[in-house]
Amino acid sequence: MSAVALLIVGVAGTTIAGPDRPAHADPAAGDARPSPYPDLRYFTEIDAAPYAQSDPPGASLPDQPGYWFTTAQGLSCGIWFRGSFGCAGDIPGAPAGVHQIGWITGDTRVHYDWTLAIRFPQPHGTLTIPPLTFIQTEGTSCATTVDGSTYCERGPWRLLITATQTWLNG
Amino acid sequence: MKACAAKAAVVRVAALVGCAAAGVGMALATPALATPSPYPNLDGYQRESNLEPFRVIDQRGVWLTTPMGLRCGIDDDGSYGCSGTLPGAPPGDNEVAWFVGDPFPRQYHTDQPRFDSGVTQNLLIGLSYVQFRGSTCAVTKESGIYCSHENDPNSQLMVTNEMTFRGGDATPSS
Repeated sequence: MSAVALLIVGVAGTTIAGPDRPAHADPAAGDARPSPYPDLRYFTEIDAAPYAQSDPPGASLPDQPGYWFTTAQGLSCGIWFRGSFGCAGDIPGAPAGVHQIGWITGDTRVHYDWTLAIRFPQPHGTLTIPPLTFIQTEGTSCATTVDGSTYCERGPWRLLITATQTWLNG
Repeated sequence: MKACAAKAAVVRVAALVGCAAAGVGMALATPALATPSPYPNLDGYQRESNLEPFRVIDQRGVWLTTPMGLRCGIDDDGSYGCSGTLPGAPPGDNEVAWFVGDPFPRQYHTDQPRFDSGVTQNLLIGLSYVQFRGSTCAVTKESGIYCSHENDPNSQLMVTNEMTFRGGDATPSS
């Protein structure tokens, strides 16, 4: 999935080692772009129960209840089967025709290819997650940042959707 | 003319005997297996060890066409599926697929069939199978396609000329 590179703003690659530059394993301060991802340590966990939704009608797989919410940008996001998570709607920065992004149990990465369109449950949340809080269920957390961005994480798999950009994995 | 009639008669007798024998065989087998699984036992099937003919230029995975004309593929992550007419499925459903992590194969309608590459996909003949990234797709003697991933019973799917089956219990489509 080469298109992933389009969305990810490079963390490395901003440094060009000149001929007189000493080779250090660690980049000097200021070389690397800071991680865009928020740190949930500074967020407050809220009860996920109000976000619980039963099996969506017309799902291509039954028995996939989940926890669903909407975002300030009008996206529908959720956490469902075995901690699968993702958002549906107009994904900022994604190519035309991409309406789903996420990680589904078994996946090796967060992605937004055609399989998501088939596997993504019908989103049906109505509540929002207040800024600086997060919900957590089945090992996956989803938060709203102070500037209204949406952030989900499950171990190394992360997803941040701001008003104009989307960051995934890394 | 006479010889011809005689030959036809012989053929008919042979066919009758054959049918009777098959009937007896089925009658004997039925009580032992109340609901026999439609899934095949791949013992004795030939593995296509060279997957090169099943590749499609500029596409990931392996691709095949069944003798019934169904188009199937196994993706690089081990997900697989078939596009085409699915006997027994609701009208409009044209794809059956299992994706890594799924607890049951999906069956759905899509305007963009993904297991039909749009170009020639090598024919997988009966009693043979391909194996790729932990997934196996086999064509039965009756030209049905059967796929599964590793030892996951829930990943099994099968499309015969009469029915589409999914999951560990071989749930028929309806």
